[in-house]
Amino acid sequence: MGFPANIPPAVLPTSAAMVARYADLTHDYNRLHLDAEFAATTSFGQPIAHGTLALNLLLVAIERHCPAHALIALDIRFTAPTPVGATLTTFAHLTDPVAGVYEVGATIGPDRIVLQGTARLMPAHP
Amino acid sequence: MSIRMTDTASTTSHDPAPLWTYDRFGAGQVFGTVDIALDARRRADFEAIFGPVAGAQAPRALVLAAMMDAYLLAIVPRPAGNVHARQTLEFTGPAPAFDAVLQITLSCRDKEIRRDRRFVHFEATVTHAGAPVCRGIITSIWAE
Repeated sequence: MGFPANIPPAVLPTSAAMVARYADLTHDYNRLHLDAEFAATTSFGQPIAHGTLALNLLLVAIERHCPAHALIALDIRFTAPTPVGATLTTFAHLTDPVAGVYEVGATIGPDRIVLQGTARLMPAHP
Repeated sequence: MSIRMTDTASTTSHDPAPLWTYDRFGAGQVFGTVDIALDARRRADFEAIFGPVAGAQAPRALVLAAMMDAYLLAIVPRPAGNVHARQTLEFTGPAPAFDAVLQITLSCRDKEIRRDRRFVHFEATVTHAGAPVCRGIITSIWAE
């Protein structure tokens, strides 16, 4: 089975409640994510979501929207913070149809990339 | 959830654990193995954020969340201001079932200073009942 040219995006509007739940999931209670008063004193100026929240969303998008293929490897960089309240949207575009390599990432707003890298897939049941 | 710490990460019961600073890290250093259960609470937290998961197999994203949990449990205390800069993942085995207990071993792969920034590369190896599940490298810019 061939690789799809694009994997449909997953979209996730973030909120303070959601980020608090993600902190429960990973036990990452860094005040930068959860405490608006503290975050206002940092260079970010406001709470930011955990970087891996966007990465988790990307994995969910691949697994949910591309069930015929399995994620084998991934290499990404966190390129910008996600302010709590922003909406995350993932992307995955096929760049090597032979090896099953995709350019992947997530954006907020129209085009601000918050994580970017590559992922390699293979047929789930070759 | 339990942690089996190695000598490099443990302290006596009388002394507060010393802060993990850049100078204390070295290639090959093992911090310990953390058991993380993909239990009902963890599934509920995951589904509250990302929506319902069909079937008995845990999603890859939940394995990543467990890896981050283990990393934060194994390497404490950390200085404020660390930045998660890069992440690699290699899925080396089938996804585990919900209710599985993952064993996640954390080690220091390498460290380097680039452009006056202290990069530490941590390796996380995830297994379930002795079988490989996933391996990841967490690259952090260390604050102190």
